[in-house]
Amino acid sequence: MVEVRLENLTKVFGKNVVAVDNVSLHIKDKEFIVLLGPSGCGKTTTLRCIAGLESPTSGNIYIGDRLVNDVSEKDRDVAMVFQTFALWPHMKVKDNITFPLKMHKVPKNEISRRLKETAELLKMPHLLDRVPGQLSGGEAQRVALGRAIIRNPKVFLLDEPLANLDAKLRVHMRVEIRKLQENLGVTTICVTHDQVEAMAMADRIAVMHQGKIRQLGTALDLYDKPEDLFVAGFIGSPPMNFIDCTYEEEKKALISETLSLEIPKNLGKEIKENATSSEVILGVRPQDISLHEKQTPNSIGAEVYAMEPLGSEAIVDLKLGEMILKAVAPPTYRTRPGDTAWIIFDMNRIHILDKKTEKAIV
Amino acid sequence: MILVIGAISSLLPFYWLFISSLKRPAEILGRITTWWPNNPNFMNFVNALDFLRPSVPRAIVNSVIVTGSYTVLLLLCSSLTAYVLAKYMFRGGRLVFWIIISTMMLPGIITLIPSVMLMLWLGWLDTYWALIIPGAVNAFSVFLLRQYMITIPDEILDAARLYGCSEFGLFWRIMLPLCKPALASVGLINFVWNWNDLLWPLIVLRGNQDMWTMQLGLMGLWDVRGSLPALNLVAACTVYATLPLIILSLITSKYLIKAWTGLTYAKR
Repeated sequence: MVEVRLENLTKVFGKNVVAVDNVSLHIKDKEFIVLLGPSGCGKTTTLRCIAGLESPTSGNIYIGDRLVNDVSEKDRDVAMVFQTFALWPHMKVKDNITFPLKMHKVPKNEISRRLKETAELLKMPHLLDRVPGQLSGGEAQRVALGRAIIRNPKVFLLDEPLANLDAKLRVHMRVEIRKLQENLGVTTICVTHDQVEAMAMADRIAVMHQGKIRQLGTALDLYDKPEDLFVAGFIGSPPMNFIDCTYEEEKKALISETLSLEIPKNLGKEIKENATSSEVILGVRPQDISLHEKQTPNSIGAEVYAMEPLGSEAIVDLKLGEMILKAVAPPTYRTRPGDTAWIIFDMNRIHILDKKTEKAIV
Repeated sequence: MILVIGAISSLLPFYWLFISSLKRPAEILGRITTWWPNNPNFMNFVNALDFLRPSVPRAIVNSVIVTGSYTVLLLLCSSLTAYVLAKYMFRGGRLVFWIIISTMMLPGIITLIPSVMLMLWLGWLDTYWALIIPGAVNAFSVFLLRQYMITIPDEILDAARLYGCSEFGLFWRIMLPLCKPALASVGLINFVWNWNDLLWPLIVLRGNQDMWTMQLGLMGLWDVRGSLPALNLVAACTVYATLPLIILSLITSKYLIKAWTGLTYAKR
């Protein structure tokens, strides 16, 4: 098995559409890394460059120690599962799976042996004589995985592998994929726009935006210590609340039109040392806002705007001036629009970002 | 209801041809129209075989050779052209496509004389080549196939490419099998067109009766006998001439329905 290294990878389409912008990434042997980002952020283009389906405009791609920029896709020894599975509809499942071996002229008895092995591994011996049109989404997914693993590739590339499955199956398959990767020990790069999927499967996540990697880290790193405004807003569900504030040193408080929040001295010191100005953005995750029926010291009064009881929790929309904040409440929490809720921010978990650079200060 | 009227009006000429082939000459020319022969005479089909000799059996063989080769060659050349235009990005690709499409605007009659002169220059007059090669790529077929091929997701080809398939392999193993409905329609349309073509063979084969195709053979029935032939036998001969087309339509109907109910690739 191998490492994958991207060095200053750039891909420009046409004259000025920069899909991937100077991306450098080191993926360790047997690691499961997820490229996470919204549509059009360059994650699939990065994956296609690694696969050899796109050639980089500049930069280098290494698979193991080999520079593969000029190596054709079929000689890179990578396997890819496409978003639509890309099964060939005119071929039976067994022909779909064994196609890579036939193309590499593997002897027939070896093909049969590996087909049997793969079918058993993916629990699909009964599907082999069907055609893709007769498969359910989950079965098609397994066939696509089978086709990818039968060659024992060095690197496994997954392009939105769960996007075409229904919600329930998605939860099941993400565990299956992770288990399969662990069993096979193959270096895996997965692309998704779904943060839950990314956080559930990945060893590390690279968050991409506008062709660049904004942050690389474990799921908890990204959740607890987002490095910039984009990552802070992208990771977490419901997304983080942002409040534009000014830091007033005399009061040791963050002041906005509707809020005056005293902050611990050490936070104030960090703002003073690291911020480019006193204009900052306060970030609070909905999970870090507690709701109280009665006023308590440091609590802020807000009007309940809407409530979404989700069973396991309740999401409460709170109106603070013109702003809407989201808070997560226990499932037993009861309130009605128009009520006043008293909210307290968990000061140990707030995030403060520089308004100008959008980088995290605290 | 409209479909029923359409179907009846399409089938009526065939029905009329068929019942005419079972009638006696007097009944065909008689003043009273009969919708079913008074005495259906199936022997007309046996007599027609005698009537056809000697020119028509040879003409059938010629037609089968010419139309068969033409259709196979056309499908191969047109699908290769369409594949490149649909799935490869290259400088000038769009221009090439529009040039090909623009040739559809030219009435065939305009290119007739230059084409005949070209055949003369190549020394292909009175040969099968003149009947097969000139139409082996036509803009209509390229257009139809290209439109179908661009609806096939690139991922399907990318997957094959990634798993070791050569560029020609992509075309042969993946693209062509997926284009069966479009190929069937294009093949049938061109088969019918070539099978029924009278003008081009008439010009390029000049007077060489050994090379005559089916349509020239049928036309020749009027001259060979020197007088008005028995219409029932002409009808029976025409049934024979139409039979291959009907059989082919039935064979390809599965694909035709798929193709004509929306000429796009659908995930199957």
